[in-house]
Amino acid sequence: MLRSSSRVAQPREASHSALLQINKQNYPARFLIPAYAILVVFFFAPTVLNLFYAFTNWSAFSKTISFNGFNNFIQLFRSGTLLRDLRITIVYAVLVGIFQNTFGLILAVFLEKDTALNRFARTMFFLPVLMSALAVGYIWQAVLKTNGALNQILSAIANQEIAIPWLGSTTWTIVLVAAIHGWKWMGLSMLVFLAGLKTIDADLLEAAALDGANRWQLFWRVKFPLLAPAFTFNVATSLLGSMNGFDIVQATTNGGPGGSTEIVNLFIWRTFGQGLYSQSTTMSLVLFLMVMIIAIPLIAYLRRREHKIL
Amino acid sequence: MKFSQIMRRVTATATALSIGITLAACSNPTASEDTTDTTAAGYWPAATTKLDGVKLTLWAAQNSNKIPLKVISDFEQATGAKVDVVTTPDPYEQNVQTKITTGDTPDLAFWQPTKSMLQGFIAQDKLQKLDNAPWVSNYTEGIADAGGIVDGTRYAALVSTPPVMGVYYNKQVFEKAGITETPKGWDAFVATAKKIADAHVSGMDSPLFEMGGSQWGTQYAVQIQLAEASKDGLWDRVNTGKEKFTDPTIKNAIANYDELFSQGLYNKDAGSAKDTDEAEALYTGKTGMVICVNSLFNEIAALANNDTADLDEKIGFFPLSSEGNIGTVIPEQNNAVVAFRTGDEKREAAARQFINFWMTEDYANFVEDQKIISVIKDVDSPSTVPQALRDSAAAIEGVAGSMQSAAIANPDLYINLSDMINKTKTVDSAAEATQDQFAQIAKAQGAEGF
Repeated sequence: MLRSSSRVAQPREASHSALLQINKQNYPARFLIPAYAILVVFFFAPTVLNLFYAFTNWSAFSKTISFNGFNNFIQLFRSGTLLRDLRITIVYAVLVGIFQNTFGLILAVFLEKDTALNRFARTMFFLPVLMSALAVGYIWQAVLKTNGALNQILSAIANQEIAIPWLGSTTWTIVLVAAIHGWKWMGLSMLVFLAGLKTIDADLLEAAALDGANRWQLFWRVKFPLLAPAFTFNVATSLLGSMNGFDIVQATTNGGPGGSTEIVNLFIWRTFGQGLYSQSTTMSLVLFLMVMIIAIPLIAYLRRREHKIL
Repeated sequence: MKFSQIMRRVTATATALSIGITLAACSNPTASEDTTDTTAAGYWPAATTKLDGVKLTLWAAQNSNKIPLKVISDFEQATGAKVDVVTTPDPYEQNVQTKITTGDTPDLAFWQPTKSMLQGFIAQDKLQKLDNAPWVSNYTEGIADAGGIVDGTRYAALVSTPPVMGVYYNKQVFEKAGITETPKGWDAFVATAKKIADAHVSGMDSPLFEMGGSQWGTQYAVQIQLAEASKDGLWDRVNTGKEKFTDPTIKNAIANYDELFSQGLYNKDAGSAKDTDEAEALYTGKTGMVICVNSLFNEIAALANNDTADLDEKIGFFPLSSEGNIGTVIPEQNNAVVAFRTGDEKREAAARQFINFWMTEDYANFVEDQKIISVIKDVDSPSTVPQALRDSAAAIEGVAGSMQSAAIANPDLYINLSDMINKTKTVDSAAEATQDQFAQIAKAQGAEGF
């Protein structure tokens, strides 16, 4: 469209055609600038400001904002809550990474063939991805609470009253919440793994079968290594996505019991609500740094692994 | 211009922009000055002055967005103004604070009329002063002082009786356990709980119930033990750093609470149970007593379909303190309304007029519509108000101030106590964490002694 119109315009008006010429030369810029503008306003500027406010005493209680050096950092690391929450966030992210990708991979393998039933099943398993994360959290909270649906079902099966406080264990509740997070996003991992499986050359599988590989070997020795790019994408997105998680945990446990599921974002939000804006900014800076420190080497490692295999 | 050149310019502009924002931010962007004279003629417009074309916005929480509807429709009819209720989702306080910090301001909002919750808005000169309001002299005993005043200035209008912390009990459980008199003081309360436990009332699981999963209810058992100390100036000392949460007065109250769990007097799922579970447990007699506030009673009332006779038969209330029966008052978000300084004088006056209309002209209609206890002397409460709420309102006279009302900051004591119930914090570390956070906020406020 663009090219043909510029070709028609050229003989007519010199200035008009020059403009079109510029447009033509820079045509990717016109598409990129809006995206970059959004990136600058909603990501770049806040990140720069984040860096700045972390070193101030900005709060709801004073009319001025002044520089206070490393005070916020010292205070936060001394109180211990931030370190506890950073640890919880890492545990949570690793668990989500395991659950989401295990669920996704199993689904992808089972639903690989393009039958009508499989297509229907894929849609069903993808539905949680489209659901509101808060709704997911509230539903599971209702299922798992002490007099919730799960215990009622178990009681009916066992024929006696079962009252396990699923969301009441300071050790295991985080595993359950991570599993819920994994459940919500497994459809996405499934799609990516499915796409990966589709790209595997059928000749390769046939050759392996002719060489006497059984189904187990076929999967672990041939298919799984060839899924490396999909694996990189899924591990990176699930791990990083869950480190920035908030909604599901907020809806299921509020960070409880006993603070055992309080990931950093919950603490940031709680501190912000107290009017301590600079402290919460400092925490989000720390979280940002932690995500970077984990993300860069991890993605670099996974990319190297891809290159080795492919 | 080449793409790379454009990108260089975009980056340069963005950098300049963000530096600009950074520098501009040195004065807190949401702050402004206030030099209002509340005694000026016309500061309080007559309740039914015509306001055609004026549109007001009132922010409310999920549990308060129905409260003003009747008043609003009466006001719109009387004045021609329009009032929009905008519901801000829970947790209301955090969300409202976030919205206001980012530059959004309503004309009116439901807001907890306590020192700690008003402090932030006042420091930024966000609130209209409500001194010399026409209805204040008509408040029933104790209401004028129960909330809304910070450093001698009134910033919030109490529209209903603020909750009193105390004990809600199941009358049928008491009867079956052979308890004829409500206990006086903490020790007698513990003895009563043990007596209920020993009576093995059928259908009862535990004499006491706690909602560690919902967290908010955990603070009341500690706070009621501080009623006498509060009257004796405890919070003034805490506000100036002279006394801490880690000092004996408050820490012993926390330890006494913790002791009840060690003795097995609470429900087994106390660490994860929700407020809805607590309401159900008390209503159905699965527990004998809960230490809580009016909002829990409202949940019970909903279970009873607001049947006053049924509620009066089952649920009772008594105030409790360390040594006797002093109530501890904690005004809540749904008890009070604040008016914001929006910069638009006409709307600001209309917002004051709306509150005036609510508290004078329309108050009888409001009380009738909401079936609540009146806080205005010449307006009677409807006869359908359950006895427990009447007893709670009666306790307002002579109440002690809660941490929220009297302390300059409201640390997350309830979360730390919930952690303690779940054994991830000890009595000591719960007190310490609370003190640390208190000191942090007090310091941010520039309070002396921190």
